[in-house]
Amino acid sequence: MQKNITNAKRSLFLFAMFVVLGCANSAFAGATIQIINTDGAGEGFNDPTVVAPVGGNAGTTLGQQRLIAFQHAADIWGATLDSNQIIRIQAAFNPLAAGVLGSAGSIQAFRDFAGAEFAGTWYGGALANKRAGADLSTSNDINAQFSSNFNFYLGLDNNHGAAPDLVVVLLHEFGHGLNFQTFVNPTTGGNLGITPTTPDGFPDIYGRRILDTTIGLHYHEMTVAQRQAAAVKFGRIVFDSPTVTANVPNVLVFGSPEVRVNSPAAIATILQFGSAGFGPPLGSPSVTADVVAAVDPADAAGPATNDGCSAFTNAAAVAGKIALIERGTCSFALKARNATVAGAAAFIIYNNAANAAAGPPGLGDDGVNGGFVTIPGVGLNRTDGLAIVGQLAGGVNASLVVDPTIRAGADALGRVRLFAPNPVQGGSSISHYDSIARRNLLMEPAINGDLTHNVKSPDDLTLELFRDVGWFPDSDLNGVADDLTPTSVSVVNESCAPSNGRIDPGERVTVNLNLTNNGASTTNLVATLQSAGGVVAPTGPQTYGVIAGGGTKSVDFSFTASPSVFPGQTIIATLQLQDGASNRGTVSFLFTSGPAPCGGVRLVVKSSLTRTNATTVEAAITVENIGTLPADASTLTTAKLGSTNGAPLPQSLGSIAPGASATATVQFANSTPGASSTLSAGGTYTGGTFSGTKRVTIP
Amino acid sequence: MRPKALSGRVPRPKKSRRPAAHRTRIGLVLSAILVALAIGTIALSRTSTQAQKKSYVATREIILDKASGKLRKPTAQETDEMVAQLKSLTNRSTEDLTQVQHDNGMVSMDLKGRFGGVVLGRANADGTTEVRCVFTMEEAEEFLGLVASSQDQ
Repeated sequence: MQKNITNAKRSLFLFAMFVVLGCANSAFAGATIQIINTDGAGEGFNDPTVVAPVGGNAGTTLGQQRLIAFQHAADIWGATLDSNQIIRIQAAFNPLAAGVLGSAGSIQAFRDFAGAEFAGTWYGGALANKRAGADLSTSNDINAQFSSNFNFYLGLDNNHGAAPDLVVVLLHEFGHGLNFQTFVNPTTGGNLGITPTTPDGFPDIYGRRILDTTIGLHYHEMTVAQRQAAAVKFGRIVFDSPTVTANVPNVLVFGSPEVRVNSPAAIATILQFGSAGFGPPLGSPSVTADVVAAVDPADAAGPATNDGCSAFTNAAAVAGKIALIERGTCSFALKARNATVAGAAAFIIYNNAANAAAGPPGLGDDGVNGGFVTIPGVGLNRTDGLAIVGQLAGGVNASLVVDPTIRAGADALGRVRLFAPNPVQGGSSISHYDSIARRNLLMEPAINGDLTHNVKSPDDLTLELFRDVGWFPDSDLNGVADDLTPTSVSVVNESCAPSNGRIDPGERVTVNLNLTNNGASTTNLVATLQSAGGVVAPTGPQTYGVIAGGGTKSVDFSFTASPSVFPGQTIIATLQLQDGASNRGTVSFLFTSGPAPCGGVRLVVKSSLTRTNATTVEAAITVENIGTLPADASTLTTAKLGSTNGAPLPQSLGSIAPGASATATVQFANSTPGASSTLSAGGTYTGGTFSGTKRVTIP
Repeated sequence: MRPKALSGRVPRPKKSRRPAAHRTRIGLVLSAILVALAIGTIALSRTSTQAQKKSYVATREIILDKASGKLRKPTAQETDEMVAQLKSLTNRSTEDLTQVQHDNGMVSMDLKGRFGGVVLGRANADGTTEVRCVFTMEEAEEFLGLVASSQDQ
């Protein structure tokens, strides 16, 4: 499946590029992430099938659109993380089997390198390079391959409809490659790097933050057996991370659906459960009651007296209680209907022997009985079910509730939960956030359709986790964590009706930007919002003044969102910070642009390179206006191939009407065919500028 | 100096894709990579071994048939292809993963394509696709409805 990189590089680049005015995220990135196309000619990223532009993806072939989507996802991470080392993702599209959409992961792991926060601790390659401030290996950092047989949505605007959004899927998988994963095998509890002389191997940086709240130990403090046990402690494994915990209130909503055994103490715990696809949802109403085993006749409907397939014979005992029923013989919905008829307040169905190794069942309707169920209920795995059965003689009290005091996806102390189902689900256990989280998070095992392209609070918690495994903010790339970090953002005023709480393309907005000072107190901090990243005509410097160590402060800034930003794209608001005479670097706030453009000019730059002779290559640079207003007096002012200036320049492109385009031809002195380089172009029009950059292989 | 493996195997040098200046810097950082430490030869995980011995049948309708527009189960051939690919992609064995000791104290390990996330999709009747990230064969089996056929149990 892996392809020869040398061959691939010959066909590395697509000669059409897409860059939107003022929105090249990588231009403002704290890290550069390169996609290394390892596909051969005519396949994958080089598939020549002609396609129509989709959702801001202006590629004209299927291959181009795939690569643009890949680079877009890479640029989102690049705009979010800080590293002075290029992160290289080798990628390909291959004809994978049905149901298999792709895969990605770190190519190498490193420990005990200069700059590592902890000795004897594994880091994935990209993070290790960041920490070291050096490239530790000649190999690429992340490997990714995706299915050429599957139709992903290739737009960049997250308007994916029924099709999975490739950008979101890539953000998730790149996230694992960037170290959102443990190298511990959760099935065995074993660390990576076990040898006869190091029988416990070595922990990894992600694992050092994994906390088993029942024993108060982190992964690296546990024995193999303790790690193995922790991997199946549903609801009780959290990511012990100050940055994530601080942002949980910004992201996760109150109302945690929970199934708890309250007594006896021997089995009191939170239980993993499967939801019912019929009847009222959990919490409607919340139920706390004693558990009573349902008893029914052993008859033709069901041979056991605890299968709940016939009317209960102990209805009086079950009434008002939580009915406990074993799975099997008849449908879940019929069992629940019988519990309803018996007057139960709720029901629990636990796995039978035939499903002893399975996780808690989701309870599907049978199309007949579900409509008669008026009480909430859940499915439990067999181990938990039998634990309850074993204590029934002494009385068991349980709750099926939506706890309004706990945020969905966090524990009672506000720490984000990790996915730790029973039975263990391999690397998916522990290396994802708990699927119970609301709002849905990027790094849950299910990649849900409502995810945005924003990877940080208030939309997500992935960046916050990265901060605490070593992707600390280091905007000046000096290897020392920045003291001043962006904490939260909000939109406080919008110019375009209707007000939707979002920054729509072309809209003038006022935003509130909150900073946290993790270092010593500032004296007179002044912040200047930069005209970049989709931010146009920002207000001038604003004063934060004194922010005490550990303190936070908010200040309002106004700017216009570039009209060329497309709905769903990330807008990056970057503040240059000055504290007296001290330059404190920059911090960036990310927004997801809104869905309703206010109008304006939107320029798309496309180009192609051809070699005219041994010492000259020629670029045809086309500027297209896909906006709603004309771009008057458009002029191409710069064109560079690497550091080589093109000629002739400047060139007038005239007035470009909406939907129209203009092309200029620029020549470069070059005698290195096959080399990798960067082609950049830029210019002006009345009221604005445009620019674009793409990576190229010189013909 | 080139790296050596403890076992006597010399890792095959990879073709550099970096500019000369970059290579020079890498050379400085990793100069004189010395003797490999140890070889973490660990038995294949029990579950992986079990998975390799199994054959599977598809029990779940996860494919939207283009011709009929209806959900269907994977064919036997599709199932075989699926299983073969998943066995490879979900490999989390540490067998043959080698730790290489560098002269600056750093230790590196080529993960050989293991430990990656695998993205799976199953079609729903409403035309949507459920997408799941898994790391193991067992989870893939559960999500895609692959069941070891009875004659191999």
